[in-house]
Amino acid sequence: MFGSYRYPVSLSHGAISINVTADRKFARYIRECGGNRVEKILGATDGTLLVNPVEPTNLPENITGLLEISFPSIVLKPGSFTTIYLTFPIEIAVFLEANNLFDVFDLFSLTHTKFSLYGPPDAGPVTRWYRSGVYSSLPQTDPLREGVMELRLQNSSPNSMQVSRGIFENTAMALWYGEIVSLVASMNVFSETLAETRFFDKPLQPGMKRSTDMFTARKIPVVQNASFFMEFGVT
Amino acid sequence: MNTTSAIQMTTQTLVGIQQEMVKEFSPIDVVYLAVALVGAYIIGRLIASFLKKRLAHKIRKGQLDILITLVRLFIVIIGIGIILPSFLRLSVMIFILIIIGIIIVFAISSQDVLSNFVSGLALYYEKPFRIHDVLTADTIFGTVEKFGVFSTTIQSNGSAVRIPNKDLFNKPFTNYRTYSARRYEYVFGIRYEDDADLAIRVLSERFDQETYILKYPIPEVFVSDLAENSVNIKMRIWFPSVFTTKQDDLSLKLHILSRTRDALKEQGIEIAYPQQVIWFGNTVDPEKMPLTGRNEDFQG
Repeated sequence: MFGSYRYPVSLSHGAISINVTADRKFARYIRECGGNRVEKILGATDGTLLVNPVEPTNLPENITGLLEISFPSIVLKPGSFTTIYLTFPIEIAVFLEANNLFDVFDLFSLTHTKFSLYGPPDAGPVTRWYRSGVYSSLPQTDPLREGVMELRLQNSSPNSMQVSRGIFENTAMALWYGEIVSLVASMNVFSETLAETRFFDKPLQPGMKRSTDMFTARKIPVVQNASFFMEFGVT
Repeated sequence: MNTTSAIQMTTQTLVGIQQEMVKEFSPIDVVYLAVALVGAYIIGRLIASFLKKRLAHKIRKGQLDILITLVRLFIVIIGIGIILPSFLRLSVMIFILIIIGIIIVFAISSQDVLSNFVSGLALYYEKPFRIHDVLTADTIFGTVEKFGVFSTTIQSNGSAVRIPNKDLFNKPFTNYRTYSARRYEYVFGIRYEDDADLAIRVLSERFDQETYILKYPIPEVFVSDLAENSVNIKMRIWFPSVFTTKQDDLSLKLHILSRTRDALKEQGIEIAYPQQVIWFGNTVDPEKMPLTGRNEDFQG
């Protein structure tokens, strides 16, 4: 379903369907997703739509810019390095293309959104919370619901560390899509209370396309934080 | 020389200076003054526009407004400072003394204005709230729309309420967005014949499905009281502050209690209502009535 399409067009995959039909002077956009129907009118009878996965921190409204992935505990030996695979939720954005610029005009998701608090109530930030399994190789996922994150875990402390969650900031999230939706990230654990997470703008498989992200589409100037410091623990 | 003669002499001197200045004013001097003031105003506007374009995405709006106001004020003062001494044929030192005198008179006659200004600077430094934070100050509840040098504007029930900065600085106020999460407590009662453990389990599961009820801190649901007509269950749940400040507490309470009632109803658990059972002697079958005491007591 992801990709660029000239409309009128009809797309259908699982619980999602997108239909753009041309009328006399305009086009009618109808999107259905899990029982939720959205109808909009496009001013031109032809044009280009871009459908791609975006960072999962926009729905149902802009509450937080942090994604928290909770997963079963992993114990890391001192100085060790390992790579694991996690799953993360995705949101799907529909962009309208004009002069190589993209404007978001629809955003939806098949996954349930849950928020959480990372850290104490007087200092911790709110996160978009998601529970994932831990996989040693690429897990099977429904690309309309979940993406796969390659997480490079490093224990830089002199002690064994137990890790069961990662907090990731959305400004540097670089999503790629193809047969799967992917992210590549790292987590460097310094102590029980401090770790640094970081994204890498690279695909997980050959032939993947880079997603247009919401910040670019909304023309929101952001300071891209190269990394995020988890200061309230890694479990 | 006594004080009276000194005052007379100073007055005569000032009158003499004034007459001299009035005599020497030419139309070109007035034009210079006007051009300098207009120039300072235009330069101030240009610099304000430049700062807005360059800093709008780096500095919060309230802070940027204050910065721009101060810069424009500074430029106008500089403009006046440059042109006025030559216009009034005064030395720079005398001009500075006059300015200081004016400031002192201004400060004494407008203590409230100055107090608001200083409170504004203190609030700016302390930053107890930001633009779009939700506050209760005194009896006013609303969203901070503008933070100015002398006052703060709060949007409350669709109206703009202007609060002097000294009031915000000197009196306590509540900021609902200082912390990113906010806890709410709700209590409701179920009937004595209902299973309280089941009710707690059902509610915990339902809260886990609610988007805005935070996963952590884990919602607390427990029996808080064995009341006259009901077993009271207390819920302590956390929401993102951003979410809670978009609606009033009553709407949130109604939303949560409505969801709570629906979840319990699905399991056959009812919210208790106050009730009292009254037995009337003449409507009760005497054969089913528990008898105590001796039969003679009922025979009159």
